Amino acid sequence: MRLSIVSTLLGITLAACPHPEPRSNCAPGSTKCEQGRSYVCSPGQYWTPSSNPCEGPRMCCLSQNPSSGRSVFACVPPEACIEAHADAGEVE
Amino acid sequence: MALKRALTDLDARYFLSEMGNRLRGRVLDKAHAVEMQIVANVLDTVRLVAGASLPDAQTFMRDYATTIGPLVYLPDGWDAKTRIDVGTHEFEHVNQFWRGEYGGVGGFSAGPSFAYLYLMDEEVRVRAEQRAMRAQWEVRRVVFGEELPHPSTFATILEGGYALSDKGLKLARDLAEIWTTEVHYGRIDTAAGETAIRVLTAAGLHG
Repeated sequence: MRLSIVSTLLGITLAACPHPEPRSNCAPGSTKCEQGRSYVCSPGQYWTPSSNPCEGPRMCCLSQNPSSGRSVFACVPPEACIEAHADAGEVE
Repeated sequence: MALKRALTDLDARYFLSEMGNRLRGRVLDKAHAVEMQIVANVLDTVRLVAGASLPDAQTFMRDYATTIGPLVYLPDGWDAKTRIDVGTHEFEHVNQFWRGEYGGVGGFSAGPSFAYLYLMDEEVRVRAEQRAMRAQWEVRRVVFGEELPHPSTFATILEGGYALSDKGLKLARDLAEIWTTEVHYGRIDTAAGETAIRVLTAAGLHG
């Protein structure tokens, strides 16, 4: 009995955890850079970080995936950027 | 770039032990773990009753590595390279359990809530799996010199066994577009990927 009460409370506590990112009106699948970090818009329209903030000589910018050819915001060396300005806009 | 010498079973054992020491996890034999037999039977029941996209018990025990918290269960009979490769993937899940996504900065948090969200929220499941696949491919690219496949591959891998909707698979593909771009340009961003490369270098297999 005690175990089931504890389990229920734990379940409610865990179930009530908020989403780690605020909801946005972004287009699912679009990507962006913000404060040196790349994000992707999830199906639930949350801007979701896709990696840690860029470090060293790398910068968050629009780049082209070498296999698919799709343009995405990502942390890459400056020479791999196809757009000069980081943290600029979104791309779908 | 390629390995300096052929991998041995001893290399794989050393690798998994060192990964466990550095990332606070432990590798166990899945075939002899009673708790894994129980999980396999539960999955079988859920699959039969709910028709969910889950592996049957035998496939789960033979073809899937499983991580619960800091415990990594690896099936018998896998060669040294597969154990290193899949071990890297699983140790990223261990790291997610202890430190959350991105060390808890801007991602999901660590501990039991990660385990709960992994099971209940397909977005978290996709994010955790993509990050673990990234860890694998950071090692494959840097240590084994392998070329990254098309990003859609990393959504296809999740089509069976992870109970994902089309939306979940789309998120998998979108995340893979970004991380494969970064890994192609040499960025090592996961704890397990970075640790694995260090361990393999220290073992004289790389560098």
